[in-house]
Amino acid sequence: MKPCDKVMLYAYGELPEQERISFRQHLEQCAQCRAELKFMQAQQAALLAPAAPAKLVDAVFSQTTRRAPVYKWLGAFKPLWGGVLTAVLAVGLFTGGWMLEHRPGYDSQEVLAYMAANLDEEYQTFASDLAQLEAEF
Amino acid sequence: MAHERNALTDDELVSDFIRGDELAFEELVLRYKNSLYQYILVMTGDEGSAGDLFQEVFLSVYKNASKYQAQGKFKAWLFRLARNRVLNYFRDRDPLFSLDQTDEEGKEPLHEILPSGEELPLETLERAELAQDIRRAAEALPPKQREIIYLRQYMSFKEIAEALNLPLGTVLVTGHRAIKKLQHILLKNREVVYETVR
Repeated sequence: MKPCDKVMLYAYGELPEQERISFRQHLEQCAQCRAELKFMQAQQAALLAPAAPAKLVDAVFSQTTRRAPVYKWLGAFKPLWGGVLTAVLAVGLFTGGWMLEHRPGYDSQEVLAYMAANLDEEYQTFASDLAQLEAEF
Repeated sequence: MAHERNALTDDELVSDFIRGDELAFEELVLRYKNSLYQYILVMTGDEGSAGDLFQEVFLSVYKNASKYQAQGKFKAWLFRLARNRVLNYFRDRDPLFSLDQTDEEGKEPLHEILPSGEELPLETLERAELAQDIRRAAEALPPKQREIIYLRQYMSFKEIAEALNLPLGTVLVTGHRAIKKLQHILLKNREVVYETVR
């Protein structure tokens, strides 16, 4: 590597001590390197990071370390979420199956007899209302 | 306690955070907020998107800190996370996007970019607007060169090579080309200003 090729590493402080010393001697004789070094220093100063907007940092904290206690509490149990969900599903399926199996049975004869009796009564009421209507008009 | 956290290394902070010390996470955020924000902003060029990606990166650190393997390379890991977010951001808009796609000019031999012996614009640029001119010129760099120029503000070339998963030599050459290109853009801008005034 030629001495002039080391200007960037020197400008960024990445040359080993021994090479830094010899590059300083080179700088005294090389106007091009001095100009480049000056430019790189100006460039480093110009590109210094500005402060990140405080609202962004607050937004990060409010979604992480400063969340409402209830979310943090739930978050603490995150590894258990899968297990809890599986347990709830299993209980639901078991209960549903049990209820289907043990639903009350009906005696069809009893149901038919009840329907016939009640339908008949309703029909009689309707027929009497109709006769009264016809008599009036 | 806050003073003690200031003195801790990144790896120690990550380790404390994993053990439940949430303030260790906050210290990491405060330590890297400015550089990370600047990096994302210069890569996206859009404040709104930069803000969103900035939050996403730190949320990802919060959720995935346990995946970090402590080797004294937290900074490289953090910027790699940010870089992936930035790449995804562009790929959502253009599936063929690559940071290399506009690098063609950066592959020119250095002597073609800046003819040797040409006077640098330092004397004319030594004024209040110098920093502004440099920042504007940096925005005009090809993405890969811009990325390395800005990353070098926060980490060594070796750390950049780790963060970008590139050979150190490639990083050094790209960094050198970026600086030459920056000078070239400043020279050109000076000519434009000169032409306009004349």
